[in-house]
Amino acid sequence: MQLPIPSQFTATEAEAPTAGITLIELSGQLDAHTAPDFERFLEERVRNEKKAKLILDFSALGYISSAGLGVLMGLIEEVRAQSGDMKLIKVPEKIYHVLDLLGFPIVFEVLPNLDDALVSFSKVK
Amino acid sequence: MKSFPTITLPADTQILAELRSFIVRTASGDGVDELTLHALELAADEIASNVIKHVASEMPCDIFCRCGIDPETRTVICEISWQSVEPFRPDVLPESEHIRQRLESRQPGGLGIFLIHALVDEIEYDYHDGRSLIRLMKKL
Repeated sequence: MQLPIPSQFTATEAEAPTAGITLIELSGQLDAHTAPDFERFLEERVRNEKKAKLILDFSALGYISSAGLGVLMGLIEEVRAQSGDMKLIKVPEKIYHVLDLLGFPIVFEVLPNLDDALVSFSKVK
Repeated sequence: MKSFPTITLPADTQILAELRSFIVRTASGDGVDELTLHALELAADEIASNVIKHVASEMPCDIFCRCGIDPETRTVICEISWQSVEPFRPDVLPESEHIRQRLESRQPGGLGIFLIHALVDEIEYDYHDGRSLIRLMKKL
């Protein structure tokens, strides 16, 4: 049986909006097929490049399953141990519904846009 | 079950996009909004991902899916089945409070099973002739 076209997903590091802050734009479908690539992408930035203040832009993300959410869960403590954080912005309604069902807003700050995330980071000493 | 459209796919993560596309195609209709469709494709994806991770890694198998709208009960019904040596039936379903505790202790395990139950109105488990089956039902 020929396998169909798999999920497409990209994570791109955008131009830093402010020194010390990393903006990552997510696009496509983040599921059990694409989550391992995303995990490697995020681990490279957090563990090797020591980037700890991350803003994840969800605006072009069409889909996320628990496999993708598990990647965020797996690294949140590491970035906080480096005095950083991971903030989610521009989350589409249907994805926010899933985050809310799971109680993610207890752990992750979910904000409307980039400016709000930058203000939130600026308040952290 | 009514003669709903079916699809059979190999249990591999590469098929998840195709499975979700099938769910969206077959569950679309009058009264089915975007959140309902998303809930069904996500629940089906979580089941298939679980099968791929925990069953197909031991014994390659296919995933069979049948999905459609029952106009009499105004319910979207989605059945997923696969070959398995034992019935799939989670013994302990995580409660909302337990999921929050897991989140607070950063333990991602159990999110998928919790999501499946939170996203649909009713779930039935069955096991016949060496096949496990999960039937998801969501009222319109």
